[in-house]
Amino acid sequence: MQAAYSKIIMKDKHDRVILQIFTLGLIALVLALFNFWVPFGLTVFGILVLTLALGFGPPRRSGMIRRFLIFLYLAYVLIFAGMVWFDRTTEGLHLVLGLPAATAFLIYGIWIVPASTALLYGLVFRSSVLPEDKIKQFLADHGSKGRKS
Amino acid sequence: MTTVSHSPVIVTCIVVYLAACFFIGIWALRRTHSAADFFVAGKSLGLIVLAAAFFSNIMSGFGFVGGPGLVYESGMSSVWIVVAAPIGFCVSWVILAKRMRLLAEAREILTLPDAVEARYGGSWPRFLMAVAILLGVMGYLGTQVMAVGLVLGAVFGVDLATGLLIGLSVLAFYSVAGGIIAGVYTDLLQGLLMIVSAALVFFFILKAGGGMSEISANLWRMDPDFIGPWGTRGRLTVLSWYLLFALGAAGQPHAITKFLMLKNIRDLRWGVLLAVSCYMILTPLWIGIGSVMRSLVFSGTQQPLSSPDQATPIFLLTYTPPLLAGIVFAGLLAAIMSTADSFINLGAAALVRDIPTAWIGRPLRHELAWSRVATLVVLGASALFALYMENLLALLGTFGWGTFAAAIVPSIAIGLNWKRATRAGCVASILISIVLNFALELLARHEIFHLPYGMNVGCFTLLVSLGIFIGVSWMTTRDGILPLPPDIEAAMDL
Repeated sequence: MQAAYSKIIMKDKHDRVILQIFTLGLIALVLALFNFWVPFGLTVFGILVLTLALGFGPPRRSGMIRRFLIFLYLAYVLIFAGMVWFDRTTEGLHLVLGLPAATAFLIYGIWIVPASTALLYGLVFRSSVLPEDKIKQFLADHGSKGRKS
Repeated sequence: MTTVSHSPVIVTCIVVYLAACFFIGIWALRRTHSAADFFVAGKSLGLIVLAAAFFSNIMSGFGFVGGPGLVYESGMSSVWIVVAAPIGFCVSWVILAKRMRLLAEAREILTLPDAVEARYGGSWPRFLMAVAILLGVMGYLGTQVMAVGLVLGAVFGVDLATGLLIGLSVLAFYSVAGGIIAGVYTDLLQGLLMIVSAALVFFFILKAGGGMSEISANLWRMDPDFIGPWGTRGRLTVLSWYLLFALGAAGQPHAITKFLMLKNIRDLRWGVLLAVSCYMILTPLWIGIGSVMRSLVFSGTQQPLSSPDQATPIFLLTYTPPLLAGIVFAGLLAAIMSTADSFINLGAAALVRDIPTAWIGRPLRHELAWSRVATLVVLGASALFALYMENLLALLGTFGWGTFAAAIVPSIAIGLNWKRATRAGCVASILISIVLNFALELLARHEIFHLPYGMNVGCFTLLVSLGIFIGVSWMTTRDGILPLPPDIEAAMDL
C-alpha cells in the first residue's frame, strides 16, 4: 500500500471524460456569446450526460451503462428537437394533455431523463455502483476513523 | 403579502406546525451530545429522512413563492428551473453521494471544508471553501428569513419585524437546541406537508382555471410566447438556467452535506428515486399557481397582482378552502424553514469549525457550545441582512445558488472523482467563483454591464470556474499526478 502511495502516475482513468467536459464547457461559453442557442442547448445536455459518465466511472461505462448514457443524450436531443420543431412550425393552438405541443414536450417529456437515471442507479447499485464485497473491503481497510466522530 | 389574520383555521395550522417544530427541537436536544451530532446528526439518517431532507432543502421557499411568482411574471421560462432539479439530484447521487459517504467513513468529516482539506491538503482550500459557504449562506439565508417574516406577518396580521421575530424565535430554538438533528427531522415533517399540500392544491388550480386546457388557451390568447416552452425570458437564459440548476445541484452544501449524515451507505441505492419522485409531485404547484393566476388576471376574474410573489398567497386565500390554505401555508413556511435551518447550521460550522481550523489548525474548544452561539449569530446577522434587501425573492435565490454551484461543483463534485485535480486548481476555481459571481451581480444590479443575450451569471461563472479548475489542475500535473493518501485514493477508486 505504501509503495502505491508514493508512486507518481501520469494518467487518471477519468482524464478523457474530464477533457471532454472541459472542451464542451469552453464551447458552451463561446456559443453563448454569439447567442447560438440550439448548439448551446445540445452542449448543455452533453455536459450533463458526461458528468453522469464521470460518476459511473470508465470500468463501468461498458455495456448497459454505456448504452444507457447514449440513450439519455438521444432522449435529450429528441425532446429538444420536438420543442424546437413544434414551436416553429405549429400555427394556432394545438394542445397535448392540456398544454401546447411544444410545451408538452418539455413538461411531460423531460422527466424521462431523471426518472430513468434514478431507476438505473438503483438497479445497478449492487453490481456497478457499490458492490457489497468492495464496501466490506473498504470498511475493513479504512472504516474506523470516521466512526470516531 | 396579503393579510390572512382573519382566518382562525389558517392561524391554527401555522401554530400547530410551529409547536411541532418546537417539540422536535426538545426531542433533538436530548440526542445532541457532540459537534458530530450537531453538524452531521451523528451519521444516523435512514433512507426516507435523507431523501426528504434532500428534496425539501432544494425546493425551499423559492419553490413555493418565488417559482410561482416567476411563472406569473415570465411564463414557462422558470419551468426550466423546476425540471432541472431532478436531474440535479441524479448528478449529485451519481458523482458525489458514495464518495462523500466513503470519505466520512474513513475520516472525521463533518463539513464540506473538512472534505476539501482531506482531498487537497493545506489550509487554503478549507479557508476559501468556508468563506464561499459563509457568503453564500448569508445571501441565501437572508431570502429565507425574509420569507419567514412575510408569511408569519401575513398570517398573524402583524408587521414584518414582528413576523420575523416570531419565526426566528422558533427557528432559533430548534436550530440551537437540536442542531442538524432537529433540522433533518423537521425536514421530514416539512417534506410530507409539502407533498400533501401540493397534490391537493393542484386540484383547486384546475378547478379555478376551468382545467389545464382552458388555462393554456387563455394564456395563449394573451401571449403565445408566455405559454410556449421558452416563456418570455429568452432561449439562452432558460438553457443557462437548466445547466445551472441541474449541474449546480451537486454544489448546494445544504443538500449534499446530507450524504455525510447517512447511517448505512447501502441506503443510497433507492434514495435518488425517492427524492425525484417526491419532487415530481411538487412541481405542478410551481407551474400551476403562476399559470392559473395569470390566466385569471387576463380573463378579468382576478385583479392584477402588485408583485409576482403574491401569486401563491392570493391564490390560496381566494381559491382554496381555509383548511387547505392553512395546510399549504404551513407547508410553505415548512419549505422556507427547512432550507433556512440547514443554512444556519452550515454558517455555524464555517464560523466554529472551518475557519478556525484553517487558521489555528483545530476547531474551537467546546465546539458544541460555540456552535450553538454561532447559530444565533448567523441567524441574527441574516435577519439584519434580510431587512436591507429589496429585490425579488426568486432572483436572490438564484444568486445564492450560483455562488455555491461555481465554488463547490468543480472542487468537490469533480475533484472527488478525478485524481489529477490539484490544490492550486481548487483554490483558483473557488477564488474565481466568488470574485466573478459577486462582480457580475454587482455590475448588473447597477446597470453597468450585463452578460449578452440573457446568459445567467451563475451559469457563466460555473462554466468559467469549471474551466479554471480543470485547466490549472492539468497544468500543475504535467509531470505526473501527485500521490494521495491511501484512504482518499481508495474512496476515489471504489
